[in-house]
Amino acid sequence: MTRSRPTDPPAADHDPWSGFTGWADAEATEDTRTESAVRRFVRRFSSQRLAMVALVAIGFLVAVAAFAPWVVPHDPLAQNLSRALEAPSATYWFGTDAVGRDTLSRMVFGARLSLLAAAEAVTVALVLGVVPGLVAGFFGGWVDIVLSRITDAVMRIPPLILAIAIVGVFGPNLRNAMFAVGVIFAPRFLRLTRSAVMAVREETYIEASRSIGTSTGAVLRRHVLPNILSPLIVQISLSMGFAMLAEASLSFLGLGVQPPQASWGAMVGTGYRFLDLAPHMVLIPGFAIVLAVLAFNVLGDGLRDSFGREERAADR
Amino acid sequence: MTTPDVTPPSFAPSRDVALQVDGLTVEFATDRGWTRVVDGVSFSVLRGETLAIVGESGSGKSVTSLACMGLLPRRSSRTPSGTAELDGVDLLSLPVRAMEDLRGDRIAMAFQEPMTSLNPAYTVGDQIAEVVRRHRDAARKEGWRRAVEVLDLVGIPRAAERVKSYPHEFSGGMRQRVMIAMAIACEPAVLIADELTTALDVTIQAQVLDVVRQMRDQLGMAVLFITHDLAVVADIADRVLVMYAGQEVETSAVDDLFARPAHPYTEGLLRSMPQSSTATAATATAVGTGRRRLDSIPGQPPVPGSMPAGCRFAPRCPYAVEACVDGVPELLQVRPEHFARCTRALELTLRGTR
Amino acid sequence: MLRLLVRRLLLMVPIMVLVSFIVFGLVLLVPGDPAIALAGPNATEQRVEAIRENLGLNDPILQQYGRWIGGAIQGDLGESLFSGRSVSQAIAERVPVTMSLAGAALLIALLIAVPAGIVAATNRGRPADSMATVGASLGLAMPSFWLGLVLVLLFSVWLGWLPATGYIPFGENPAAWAVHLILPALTLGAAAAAETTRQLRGSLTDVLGQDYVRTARAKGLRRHTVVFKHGLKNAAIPVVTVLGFQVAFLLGGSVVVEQLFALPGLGGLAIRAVLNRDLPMIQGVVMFTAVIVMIVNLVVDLLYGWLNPKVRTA
Repeated sequence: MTRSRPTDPPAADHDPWSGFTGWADAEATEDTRTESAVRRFVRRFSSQRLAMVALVAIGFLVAVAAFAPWVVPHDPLAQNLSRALEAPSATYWFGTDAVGRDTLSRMVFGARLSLLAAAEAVTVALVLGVVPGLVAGFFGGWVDIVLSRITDAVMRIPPLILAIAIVGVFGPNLRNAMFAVGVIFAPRFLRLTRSAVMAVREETYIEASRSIGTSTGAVLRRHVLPNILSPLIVQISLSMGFAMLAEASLSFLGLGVQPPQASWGAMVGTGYRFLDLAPHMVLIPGFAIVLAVLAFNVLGDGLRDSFGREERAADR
Repeated sequence: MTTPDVTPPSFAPSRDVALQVDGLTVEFATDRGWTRVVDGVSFSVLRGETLAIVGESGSGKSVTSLACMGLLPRRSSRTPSGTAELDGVDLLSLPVRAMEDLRGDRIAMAFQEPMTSLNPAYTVGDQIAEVVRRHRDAARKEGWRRAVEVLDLVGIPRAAERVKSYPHEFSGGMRQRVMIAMAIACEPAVLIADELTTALDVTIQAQVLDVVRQMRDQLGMAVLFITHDLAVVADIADRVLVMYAGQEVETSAVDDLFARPAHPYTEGLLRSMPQSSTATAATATAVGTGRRRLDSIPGQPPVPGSMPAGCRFAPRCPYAVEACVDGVPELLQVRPEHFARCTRALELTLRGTR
Repeated sequence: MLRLLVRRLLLMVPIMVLVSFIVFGLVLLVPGDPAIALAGPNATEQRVEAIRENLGLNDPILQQYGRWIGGAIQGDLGESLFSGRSVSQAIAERVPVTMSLAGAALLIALLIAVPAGIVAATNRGRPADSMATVGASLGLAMPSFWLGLVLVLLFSVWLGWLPATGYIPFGENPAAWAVHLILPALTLGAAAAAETTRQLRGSLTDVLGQDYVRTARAKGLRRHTVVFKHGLKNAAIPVVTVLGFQVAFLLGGSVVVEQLFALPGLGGLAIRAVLNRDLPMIQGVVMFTAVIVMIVNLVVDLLYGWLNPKVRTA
């Protein structure tokens, strides 16, 4: 340790405080706040065991869906009436349906359908939500008022009923159903984007940037987008889960995916007529929905916790 | 971390002692186990007297007061040693429900930030009356009558009407009076005032201090005044306890402390106070500049869990010598009733303000 | 309080107008000539003409809207393209079922969520909290129709305790009405219970960390007084705020649950209308449920005023 202190008291008339800036060996301890935002995110996210499990589960699901034709044990459309409504066995791991099709193989292709459908709905919601949200938040004024009122109005209509109505107008098929789900999710994205943009807009660096003549597009791209990215990612993850639920509900009602294709929701929908004979037809695809939705929700929560600021001490 | 065995300065216990704290130690649960945030603090407050505890944020002054109130989180804090006696009862070892019976009745606390410390969903009358009903077994009407009475006592005009108002309908100063009224509703023996005047502007601050003084005199309460503002201390306190890094570093009567500080930290605090003889003028300049006043002491206070060896103030102390880092300083008596935790307390002559 | 009511009522008007625009605008979204599209591929020329007549598609759009909204205000939502029946009458017949279901579901949701939320918030990090949190996550991830089927499997097929399907009007036999509603209401209410539990846990945890709760403890109040009086009323504010949205979700979800349990409610009407592409019926159901949601939101706003004095007096 450096020893820089005097051993003798200074002269009485000397003011020891003047010019005193602390002792050389008493420097403040190292600053730990230098890690990058990305690294901090990775550190915090990887410390959440549940969210990691969810991420792995989603990765597995996506892989299975992507390689569906190569991983299925049977042809999902091949009927075998002599082996209809069979309970799970070594040949048919998840049993068979009313015309003897393999449940597992149909679920693998169903995963493909469900994931694509949910992604489609979320994309529609992003386009319909983020763009007007940016406009409303950035320009404010009457544009904001009008867009916010429209959002309010849309949110007053029960979501599933609105979706059904939209499907009713365009006709029942999966594409229309997912467009409808996108429409009902759009207000969330609009509100989220709007408030995030408004918060950023108040920051002085935006003022400064605009005052030196940066174009609106550049300001949005350079300053606004990075700031709304993390809440958006969280919302996308949560919305994927809800979109899968909505797809399942609409397909269950017969307003989504049409036979002979089947999503998990549609499989539950056809299975419920055989509830007492072959409960596995309902239980297994339904359980798959629960797990997938749960994974997206847990991932969303985990992302939110990892993006957020350091939490203050739990108790005071 | 080694902890020195502290010999508390002994004020002879007398009948007039309202609150007697001895060797209070508080530890918080952290990632690295229990960390000591208050380290063997001892003091007493007499009836009709105001003791000010002064220190920067993080010095342990608020934790000390919360420990006396039994308001520290039970799961993440503990008091491994020490006592806090009120009427001969050790508050620290009381069971939860018995402590609840005393809280708000015999020992009460008024908080800073009355905007957030009062419940926005209930009228002030309701919030005062419920203390009285809780501790006095009073009927609803009786509690309400007492609420009007104490609101009047702390100088809220038209108390009978204002009792039905909600906290957000009062101004900052008036809200702080409500806070005091709530604390004194059951005429406690000890009133703890935590940074009571921090958020207020100068004139309002002086008025609120007046209310505290009046209530203390009328009810014969002992007042424990927690603050970081020496100008307020000069105005309200009879005696002062200066805390630094969880320890008491100096304790003395207010005049002696201001005139002849014995600890370099106190001297540093006094230096950073605007030079002025009257407390109100001092506060006038103090408000608004906020924490910056303490900047003239270089460096940062140490963090609990990584205290410097030897004297905890040594790294920031212009008077520090080898002995300060090598040995752990004890509280030394520099004059009767005046103690300082500084190895060089007896040899140094420090500059006061008057 | 009266001023609050008036102000909220006035605020409702523009939203109501916008909702009616959206609902009426559905007709504009129909691809191509709405009459031909709605009549279906095999329709006769007369059928198409009848639809055009029924919807007044030959008139300017604003006039069409004016006629529709004018009727709607007087309770006339037009006639079904399919059966020619009055839409309002068809809705009126089926409303009691849907309202019974949604009301029972809301009740069950609150009966589950309020205790669960309080227990979770006051026992943070303990097993009870974990149970409530995990339960809520599951409740949110479960598709209602699947939960309903599992409940039917358990309580009807295997245990035989409760009826799987059917509806008995309250006026006919109140006990049977209630028994037939238990499983559907539980099915519909589960997600709302989960959502409310999460929110109450979050807001109560937040409130219990507030300064005024410390003040309440400093006053020596008993723990239950601190939690129930000083905690719950403030914690209820954000929960109540989204109650309107919960009701909207319940009304939407009832479509699925009614199908599952064969309840003759608005859901069946809506599904049949969609499959028949019966536009006036679709519009009627959407508008009606939106109005219900707005009325619920009005009640919520008043409740909000009671909970939060700042709103009341501002």
